[in-house]
Amino acid sequence: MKDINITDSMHLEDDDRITAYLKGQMTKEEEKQFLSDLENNPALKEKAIVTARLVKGLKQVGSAHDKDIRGAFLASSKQGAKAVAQTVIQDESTVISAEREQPAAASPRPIPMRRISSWIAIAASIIFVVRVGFVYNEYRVTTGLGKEYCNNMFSEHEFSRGASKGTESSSDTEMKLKQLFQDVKDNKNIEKAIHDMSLYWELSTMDIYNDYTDYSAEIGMNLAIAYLLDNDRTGALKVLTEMSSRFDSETAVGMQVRELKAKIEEL
Amino acid sequence: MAADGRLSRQNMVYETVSNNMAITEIPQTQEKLNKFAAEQWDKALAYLQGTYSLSRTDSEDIFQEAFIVLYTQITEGRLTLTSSLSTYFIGICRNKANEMMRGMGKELNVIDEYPETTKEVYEDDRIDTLLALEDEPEQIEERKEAVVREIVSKLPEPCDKILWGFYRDGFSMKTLAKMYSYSSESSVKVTKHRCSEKFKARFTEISNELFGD
Repeated sequence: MKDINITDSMHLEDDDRITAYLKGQMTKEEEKQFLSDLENNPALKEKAIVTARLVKGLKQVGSAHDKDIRGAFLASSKQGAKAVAQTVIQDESTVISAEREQPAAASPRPIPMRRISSWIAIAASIIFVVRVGFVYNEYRVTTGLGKEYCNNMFSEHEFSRGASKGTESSSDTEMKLKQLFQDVKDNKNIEKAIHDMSLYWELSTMDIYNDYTDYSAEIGMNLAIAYLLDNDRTGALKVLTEMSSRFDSETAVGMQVRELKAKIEEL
Repeated sequence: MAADGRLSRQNMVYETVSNNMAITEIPQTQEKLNKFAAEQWDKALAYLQGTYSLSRTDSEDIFQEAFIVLYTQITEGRLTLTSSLSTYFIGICRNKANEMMRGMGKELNVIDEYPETTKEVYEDDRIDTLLALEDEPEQIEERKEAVVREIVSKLPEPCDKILWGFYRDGFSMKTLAKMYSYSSESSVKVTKHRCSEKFKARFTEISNELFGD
């Protein structure tokens, strides 16, 4: 923790200088020095480029988002806009007032401390036993579901398209994925499989076409199953929810995704 | 088109609907407006209470009035953005709060670093100067920009609030600290630094995978 703080403070000054440069808030002398430092300090240069990328990306996405919202306002009536503003406030007020209006419990009769501590000890033991049983059962059911789907997974395509895709890395991609999918099937190296497939899932769902785009269905499904094998329902549901918005319910993938999602939600 | 050269509201609605969305997507439009309002309410409440010490009821009144002002400005074609829409909206809330304070005869003793504009804040030519240091072929550069757009659209908490708030909305560290209940400006600064580092790591990881850098 100490090291992180030291590192942070060392870099905060660089952050400030990059921001000041991008905002045009440097004096001529400071700017000259900054540009010269960029040439001589690779770490500062890399940081400055990444920050410029970040600012540009936020600008691009932000402008598109703002345009969208303007469109939404234009498609709405004045009454509609008023209602939206009121609803947002009321939604939160309802939660707050519900919290405030919790009925106060009637004042209990004073009970001897020894009796209280015995009750607490008994209750804690019961809760512990029940909780352990519940957690184990939850684990068994969740991982069991992962194993079940591992064996019954749809097969979108065999891995034989690398050469036809015409990119050198395609076969590498296939090899990597094949190994990861096998790991999921064998229920081994699950943590690594989740880590790697999370990245590939993100890549495969990007707007820009890349080596992973065509394998999106397999990556998503294997990732969801890996999460289940790791007893992580939330992770699995997150992937499956995104998959259901991407794959039509008429397709084999779409059907299986919805089926598995429903089963997890029922658990 | 109206005589003064502006599109009439009906035409603008029609054009927006036909250009940007299919008729079946209208519920999504409502959803977008709800989401926008919810995000702004959180920000506005924190800003008004943090900066002006206004009550929740006063903040609610200001928020609702400001929302209608924004609606009117957009639909009447009077909105010229020099900042993000969010910054602009909170700016309306700020003006309303100043009016309210004056109406109550209270002295305006507000130390505020509210950004009037972000257009001037982050200069495009300076962004390009820094990006030129990498000297990527145009095609790769475009794909890298697309990667960045993907990442910033899915930033996890609290990075979404801090990075968007600082770099896009142009809020100062002081304002962000008040808005998101940080103990100090320096806490926000450190969080922002760590979030930038996370962004850098994610971008590098994806770039290496896609472009083999």
